[in-house]
Amino acid sequence: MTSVDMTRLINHAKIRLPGALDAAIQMELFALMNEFFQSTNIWFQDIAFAVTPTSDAYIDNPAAYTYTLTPTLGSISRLVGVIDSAAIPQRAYMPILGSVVLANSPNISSTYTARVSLTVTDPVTVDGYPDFPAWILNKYGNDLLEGLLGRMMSQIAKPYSSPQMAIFHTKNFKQAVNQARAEAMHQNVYRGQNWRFPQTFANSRHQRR
Amino acid sequence: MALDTVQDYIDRARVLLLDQVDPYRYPTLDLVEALNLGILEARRLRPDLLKAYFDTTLPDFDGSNMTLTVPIDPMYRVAFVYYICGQAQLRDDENTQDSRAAAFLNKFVAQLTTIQA
Repeated sequence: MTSVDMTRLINHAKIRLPGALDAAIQMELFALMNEFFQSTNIWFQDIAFAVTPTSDAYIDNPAAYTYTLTPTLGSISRLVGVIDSAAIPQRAYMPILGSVVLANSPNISSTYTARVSLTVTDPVTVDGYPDFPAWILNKYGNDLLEGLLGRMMSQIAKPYSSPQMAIFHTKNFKQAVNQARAEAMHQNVYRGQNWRFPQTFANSRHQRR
Repeated sequence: MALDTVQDYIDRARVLLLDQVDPYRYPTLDLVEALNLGILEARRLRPDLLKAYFDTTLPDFDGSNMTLTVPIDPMYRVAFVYYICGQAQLRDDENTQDSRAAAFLNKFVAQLTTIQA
């Protein structure tokens, strides 16, 4: 069943896009959500996975260093980081989405946790809308509406085509994406991490080495 | 709902064509074929109208079953009635009015692609 927030978003879009078909809105919404999630990293999941030590070199046995991660919803768009059971960061890569490759073999069998950012994927809901956490639509509904209007109005030769308004709405959406990206970095903490170490200090310290 | 089946479209087109009395001036099969042509035109002008048929052949009615549903979104069904009328009026007979045919066909295109039509 479509959520209240999704229904509100789609109703807004239908009113502001006369002549738009549901199927077209759903297609653009999927593409929009994919862009939103890949640009912001706002949707992530911590996935625990069991690791086993190996004496093989990576070049001889890459599979021994490779672990498959499966999110409960959506698909993986990038690896944010990996920590071991003591919460110590471990070097890891994800050359193929969904498969994390450890830079170093663990010393003992253990459980690592990978944080991955996610994006929408098929299958969509029975109503044809992409599936993602409800809080995101609740918080960014108006911003997503801007993106949806921008994408729809940029289509050519439709009753709702409007290149000028497409630029306007897309610009608003891009601003919202930047804000969402920053909020995701700060984990939605108000004024969180707004202090930065002076970059001149970092540079001069580097130069003294 | 109005304009659901093939018969609904043909009946509505006959009203605009002043052709509601049997024997008809415009054969039913000709009007059904005009509906098929309209679907082809719609696929070109508004692919999203026929998204369900991207991987299959487009609907093609032969008049044998006039109760078949025409898979067009309700917002755009009237446009297809205009297209059927336009195609019928293009025929070269004593009732033909070229300007009327052009008006119907242009209205079809305008309704599919603009909001003011």
